[in-house]
This record gives sequence, C-alpha cells and structure tokens, in this order.
Amino acid sequence: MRKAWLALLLILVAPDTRAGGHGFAGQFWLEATGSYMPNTSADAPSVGLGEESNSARSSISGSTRALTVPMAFAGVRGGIDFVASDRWIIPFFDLGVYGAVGTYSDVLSSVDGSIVRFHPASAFMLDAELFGFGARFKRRRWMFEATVKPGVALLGISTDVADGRAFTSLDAQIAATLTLRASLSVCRRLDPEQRVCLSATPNIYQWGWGNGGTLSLRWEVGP
Amino acid sequence: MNKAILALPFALAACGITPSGSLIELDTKSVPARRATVIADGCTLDSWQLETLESYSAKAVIDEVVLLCLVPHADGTVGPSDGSAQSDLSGVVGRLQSMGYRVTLGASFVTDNGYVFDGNETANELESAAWIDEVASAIASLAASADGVDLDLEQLPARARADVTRLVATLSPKLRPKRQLSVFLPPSTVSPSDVPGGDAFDVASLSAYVDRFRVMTLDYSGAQPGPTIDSGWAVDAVRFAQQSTAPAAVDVAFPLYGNDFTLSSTEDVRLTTYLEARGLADAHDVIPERSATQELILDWTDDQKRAHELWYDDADSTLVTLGAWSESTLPISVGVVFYGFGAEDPALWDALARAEQ
Repeated sequence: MRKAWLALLLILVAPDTRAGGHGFAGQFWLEATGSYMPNTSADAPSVGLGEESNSARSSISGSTRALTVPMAFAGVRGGIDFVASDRWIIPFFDLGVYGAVGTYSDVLSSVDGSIVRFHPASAFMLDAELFGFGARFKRRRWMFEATVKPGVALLGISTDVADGRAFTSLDAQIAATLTLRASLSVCRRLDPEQRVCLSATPNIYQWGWGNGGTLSLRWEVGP
Repeated sequence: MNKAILALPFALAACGITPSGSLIELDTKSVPARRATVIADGCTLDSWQLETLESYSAKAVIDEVVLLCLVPHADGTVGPSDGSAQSDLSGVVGRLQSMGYRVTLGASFVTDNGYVFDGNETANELESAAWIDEVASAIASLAASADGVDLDLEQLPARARADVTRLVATLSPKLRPKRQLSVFLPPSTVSPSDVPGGDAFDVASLSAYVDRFRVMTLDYSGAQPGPTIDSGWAVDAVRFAQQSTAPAAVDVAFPLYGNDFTLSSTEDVRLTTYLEARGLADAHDVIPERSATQELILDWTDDQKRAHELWYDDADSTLVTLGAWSESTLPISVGVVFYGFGAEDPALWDALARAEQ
C-alpha cells in the first residue's frame, strides 16, 4: 500500500522537476494546522439526531439550534495539487483531520423537545477539498501562493440525552457544511523539490460567512 | 496503518478539556412567548399570589388565571353553594379581571368527602342525563362573571367516554360563544391510552364543543421517584392530542410544584412548593443536585429516618424546559398552562419575562 502511494507521488511530482518548470506536474503537501471558528452566526453547526431514544420516548429526531460556541482545533491535512506552467495551481484533492483543543464548557440544548448535552471538548472535524484554483510566483528561494478551494467539512461531537436523573450517552453526532477557503502562503525552498510554507487560510464560508480560519505550517514536495 | 488512521481523529479529540460542572445553556437565552395560563387551587388567592399577579413581569407573561374552585356534588349541586362564598368568588374574579387577566373557573369532579378523584364514582354520576344537566346549569351559573370554564375529570374508566362527551356537549351551549370552555386532557401518547383515564375522552368528538384542550403533562414519573415532567414526553403527548383536537386550541402543562417521594413507600408522593424544598434543604443541611432534565433533586431523611427524594423546578430548569419547546418543536399556537400557581420559584416570572422572545 505504502509503495503504491510513493509510486503515485513520483509520477505526479517527477516529470515537472525534470521539465524545468514549463510543463504540467503535481505536488504533494502535508501540513500541521491550528484553526479557529467563532461560530457566532445562525449558520453555526447544528447537530442532528436521527431516531435516537430514551426511557421517555421511543423516537427523538431533529436538530439543535445553532451551537454558537467558539471552537479551536489542531490537526493535520495533506493533499495533491497540479501546477501548470510553473504559475497556475489547480488544487486536486486534500483531506484533513482535527481535534478540539482548549477548555470548553459542556453545552445544554434540545432536540425535538428533549434535553441534550454536548461535549465540545471531545469534538473532532474532518474536511475534504476537491479542485480549486490558485497562482504562485517565485523569487529566488522564496515562493508565494494563493488558492481558493471549495470542499466539505464534518464536525463530530459527543452527545448525551437527558433521561430522568442522568444522561444517556449517544454516538457522536455529526454536523456537516460546505466550505470555501482562501489560502495565502509564503514558502522557503529547502532544495529543488522541497519547501516549507507558512499559510493563512481564512474561511470564506464554513458554518457561516467569514467564520474564522486556519494557520498552518506546510511541507511541500514538487516543482 | 488503517487502524492508526481511524484512531487519529479520536486521539486529536482528546486534547479538549471540560472543567467540572461547567455548562452553557443555549436554549434558555430565548424562550418562545406562548399564551400562558396559571392554575391555582381553590376559590381564593393568598396575598403572595395576588402580589405576584400584580407584578409587571407576571402581567407580561401570564394571560389567564384558572381558579380550580368549582366542585360538582353527587346531588347535582356545584360548590361553592353558599351565597357569601359565591360573592367572594365574584370579587376575586373581578379583581383579577381588573388586573388585565382572563379568569376561568375550573370544575374538579372529585368525591364529596374529600379532594380525591374517584373515576368510578364520577362515571356512575355521569350516566345520569339529569345529573349532567343540573351540573352543567350550575357550573354555567357560577361562572357567569368569569371568562370561561375548565373541566377537570380524572381517573375515569373508558366506559365514561360517551358520558364525558355528553357533559361537554351539554355545558358548551350554556357558555359559548360568550365564554370559553376548556377541558383537561390526560397526556396520552398512543391509542389505546397509556395513562389512566385517557380513553374516557373522545377528543375528536369533544373538539366540536371545546375552545381549548389542556394536555396535563404532569407527574411524568407517577409514584416512582423521578422528574415531574419530561420535556420530550410532553411534546409527544401534545402531538398525539393535536391529531384530533382541531379546531380547538391546545396547551401543554408545566408543573410549578415539586414531588416529594418517600423511598420506603413507593405510593407516598407529596406535593411541595419551591420554598418548602429550599427550607428542607436548609433544615437538613443538604445541597440539591441538578438532574439531567435540570430539575433539582433533594435527597433528605426525615425525623422517622425515612429517606426522601424531592424533585422540584426552579427558574433555571423551567426555562430549560420552555426553551426546549421551540417553535419548530411545538407551534407557537400551543399555550403553556402552569399548574400549581404559588408553589413556584419566586424568581420565575422575572426570569421568564426576560427570556421570552
């Protein structure tokens, strides 16, 4: 499996480096990220329950109000981009996984009339972006990049439902959103194929317009 | 490798910290402003109840006051029967109306020898058309100065179903349309009913004669220690009632009283007030615990060494429940009827007035 990944990377990355920056090639990247979402708008994550139950009710299904709780995450993301003419970036695919960091109070809300409790401290997030557009230019050992990428994000949050004196734990509940992010990066070349980048990625849309963003430190392999 | 990838989100998710006991209540920030009714036991109100009703916050929140006052007797008369009591009742009704409240008189079909519901005895009385006619006329007469009548029939056997409809059909034209007729409805969630007395009400037939059904979503735990209401169960009961209540309106009930369960005897449940619960907590040096439903629980032991579990609401827990009944969960046309006026947390009406949208 690992060999197959390496072979794919080499196919995507190698031709352009040999082509002297005038072809169509791929680059691979991996980054460590820290992100923050203030979640102040009505579009903030709303968690849905599907056909849960407790001793009072055989069926509890519905969504919470918007969980207007600021959240911070740390995680990793990796992806593959295409580069055309050493100038245009066509982000192909990337995937990220994140976990909540920081101190959070539990959140009491309701679903379909039943009292529920959420644990933001145990939240995790997955996101994926597919295609996008961007540009870059180089100056000596420095490179500057700007991209815009659409995608989807899933927020998982552990949930309990009130059942008399105590709460009953449910499976982690999921909130989903479409995303649109803009990324600005400054990269420093380490060798002809590798560089390290510092990126700032505001969330144009992610559970609300202008809902926070991400800072990341990225390692790129490519032309 | 695959297991490591799957474990990554959960490993990352372990980084967040929750301080012990900290809780953010989202829904209490805005509570839907529903038509609100308070039910008080008896024909009179004490000075504290009157003072509460005089307050700005109570006037902002409460629309209607029900005095659970009228008592039909086996001989067809309806109490209060003496002139002075009736005059006092008219005075109370007039005073409340002058404060801006609608006032309704509730008729409790309890036994003559005490405030106890005996469904079989009431069912026997309801079999007599003459008794129904006498009682309906007496109720209409006593409620002449009020804005309406509420009927409180409990623990009835299913055989009383047609007779209950006959009682309501007889009383309805004596009141409506000038005054309103409401009926307390057991909180059934299925058919046949899952609560005592539920099948005695043919809701679809009654709806032609009734302005409002009050779904009495109280005493959820029955004789077992537990919450006085579960907000989700109440939603199910209202939704079930709404399948056949149109065109009549519907209220969901909320208890202002607490239930004190004696653990050595599952049948012993005593109604308490918020202030009594606070007094017991102080006297026995016990700190109440908040349940998952946010109701307070006081575990205390009496002088006979019997363990008690007292469940009661304060303003916070009441707001949590009312907030859970969002407009998307229960239509705003559904009112709230607060049962046990006078037993509540004194801070409730101010808190509710602030929280209502």
